[in-house]
Amino acid sequence: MARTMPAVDIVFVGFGFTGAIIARELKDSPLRILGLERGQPRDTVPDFQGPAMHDELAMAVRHGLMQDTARETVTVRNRPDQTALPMRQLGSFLPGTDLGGAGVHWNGQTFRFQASDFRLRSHHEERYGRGFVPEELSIRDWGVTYDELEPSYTRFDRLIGTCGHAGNVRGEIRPGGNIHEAPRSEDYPNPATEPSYLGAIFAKAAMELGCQPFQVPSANLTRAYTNPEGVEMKPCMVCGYCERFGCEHFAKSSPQTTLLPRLREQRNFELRTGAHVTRVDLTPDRRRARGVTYIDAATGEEVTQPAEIVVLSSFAYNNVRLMLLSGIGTAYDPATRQGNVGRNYCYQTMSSVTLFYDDDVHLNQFMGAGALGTMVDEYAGDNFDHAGLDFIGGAYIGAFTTGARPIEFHPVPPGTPRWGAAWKAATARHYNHTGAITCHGMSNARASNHVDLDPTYRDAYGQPLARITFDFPENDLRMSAYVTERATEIARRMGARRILANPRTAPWSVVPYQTTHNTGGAIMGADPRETAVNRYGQSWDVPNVFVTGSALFPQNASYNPTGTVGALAYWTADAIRDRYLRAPGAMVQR
Amino acid sequence: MRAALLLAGLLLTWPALAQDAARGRAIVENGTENAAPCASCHGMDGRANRSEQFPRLDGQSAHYLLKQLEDYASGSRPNEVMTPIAQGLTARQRQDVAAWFAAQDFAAGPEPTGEEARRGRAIYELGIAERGVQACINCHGPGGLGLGPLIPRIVGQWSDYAEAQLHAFREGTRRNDAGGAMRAIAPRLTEADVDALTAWLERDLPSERQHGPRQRR
Repeated sequence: MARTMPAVDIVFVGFGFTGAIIARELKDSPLRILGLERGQPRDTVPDFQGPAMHDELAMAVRHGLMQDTARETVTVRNRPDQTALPMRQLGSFLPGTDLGGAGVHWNGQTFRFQASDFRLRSHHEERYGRGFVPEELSIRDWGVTYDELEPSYTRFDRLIGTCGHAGNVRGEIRPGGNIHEAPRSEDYPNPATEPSYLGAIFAKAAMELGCQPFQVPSANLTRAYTNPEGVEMKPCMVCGYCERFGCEHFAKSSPQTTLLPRLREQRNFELRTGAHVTRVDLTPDRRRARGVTYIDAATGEEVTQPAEIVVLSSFAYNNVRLMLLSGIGTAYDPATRQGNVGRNYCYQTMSSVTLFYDDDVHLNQFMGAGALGTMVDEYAGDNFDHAGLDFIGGAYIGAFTTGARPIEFHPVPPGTPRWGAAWKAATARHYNHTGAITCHGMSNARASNHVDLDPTYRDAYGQPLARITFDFPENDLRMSAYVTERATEIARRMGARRILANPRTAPWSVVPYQTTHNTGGAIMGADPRETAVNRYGQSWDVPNVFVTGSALFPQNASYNPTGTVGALAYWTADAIRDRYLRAPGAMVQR
Repeated sequence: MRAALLLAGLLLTWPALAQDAARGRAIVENGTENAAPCASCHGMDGRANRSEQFPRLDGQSAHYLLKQLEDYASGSRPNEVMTPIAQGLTARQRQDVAAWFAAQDFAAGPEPTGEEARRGRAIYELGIAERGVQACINCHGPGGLGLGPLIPRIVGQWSDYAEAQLHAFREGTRRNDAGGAMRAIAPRLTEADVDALTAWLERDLPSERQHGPRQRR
């Protein structure tokens, strides 16, 4: 029999950045707040300490901070007419687990989306005409604009102490920053990073081609910083262990370094770890959530947790899965194109150019940081004229120096034997003399790409796995080819002995790591038949359920998603606190 | 951007260290027209003297040593003894001297024991979470061996010198730490913390391996 816990007012399913932001924004409310995290508690001390945290084998190769696929994974396929198979080893993307979620192991590259990204379909129809957007794409407007979100972006930047040089402050264009960016209401809280050597070479080449290079906005801090919550962060030591690692230096923004110290003191907040939520409990008419049911990892017991408001704040597709498992909304069917949950699953269209230098060019990339990069924004989104081109979208082009860690970083030119003395010699020859340019491309939605429940495979608790059906739209492959060409032009001016373009090709494969920017499935918008949640992240079908994170994105932009995830969390927090609590119920009428 | 290119270029072009060290030896031993011999305080082997507040330099990262000499010379690490000496050396000579000391064998005595040493080691390896002090090990590496090229080895350092540096970071008289990391940490350490930490890091050498005559504090 399920044990029933005392009721709370609001419960969070999954406790990373978004849950922590909203719970903190409700600090002065009379609400009893409960965070449920299925993983373990963890903190900078003792869990992220050196030298153990620099165990590349445990953390990077064996994915020490990631979800355990033996307990739960996703099944994947490219097309609806294929049978999906479980991803038994993480590859293409690395969902985090435990307290703080992916906010612990991210790189810290902190962007805002462009104003046009939030009105993607309208923008393109206005600029290029109605027939311009390729037929295959099911891109949409978000239902919220950049101007509406701007204050929330600014709050997130202040929270995490983003380091950068603003290129557009209230319309004033400032050289040295991203001049293509939508206006910010204020400059970054902290100064930009210093370029690495590779970044400096990249910047020079990009400038010669008429681009305006700038330092990637970074949540690896460039100086000590006390955020508006009164939590102090420390400067980054450029140790090269960000992505896939926790930061021992208090220098990478995470829930642990920005919010959790205050939440621990917050009187109306309780955190329960080891609580694996299996469903949102609904009333029989499926119009209202009564709370959630979870398994207590310590005892194996099923626990009923009544709550007035349920916030799904777990990893992107896990939110979608929980909605489908609980009967919130209608599952999307790509054959009929009906259903509002599971739509518009998107990813990121990554490509790169590798640069092999002579052995007197020492790149020293072991001195790196997750967000240490120099980039150009000329070919991102709709920053360039697409008239005459056969695609929409773009990519930012950047040169990152993230650490060149010894086990996983061993670039060798094509034609090198895969093992043996020649491989070893080539590895030694090229280790410190090989760099890369990354193209971080938009991912547009199309009808067949979606998330639903797998008919065959189940998790350790007997529940169906999420099934991801995804391949790159033709549009995105054309975009990637075009932008990779632009990146190659920059690379040709960077003085390498040999360059090698690695454009993105179909089909999408789960094997090589690309990025953990999984988006969509519980998308926001204005149409209750075709979107899962309204512009506030509130479920159209069950108005006391809210969803956070990149699951809300109708399609993914050319930038890393965390800045927008953080902004949307503040946006939803404002809506709950200032509107929903005063008049509980649907905030947008169907 | 241009400054970064120049800095990166500097790091790229470290010439053959052995030749530098050989030239450095002459400067360390005899000084130059404008600079006193380094050996008179630091010893030929860089092990200095426990009692004099002079740091051990033996086997220290060459890049770190060079940066300190550059910072002394430019005034970004002002010091009444070292600033005129560093200014008296040419850029080339500073490089040679750094190479000489970096090439010396480092030796350390046994790890101290006792209550204070345990406290020092705990600060080194775990930090002091309640006061927001990061563990030293995160930057200075396992056993205090440093993390080249720019984070110095601190194990074995004479405690009088180490203590003086923590005080200087705390008071802001030493300001050449990357990102202000040490200036943020040092004010959070009590005098007892500083004593425990520097005593644990100091590794008393057997007397025959010390540079100068052994003196008890």
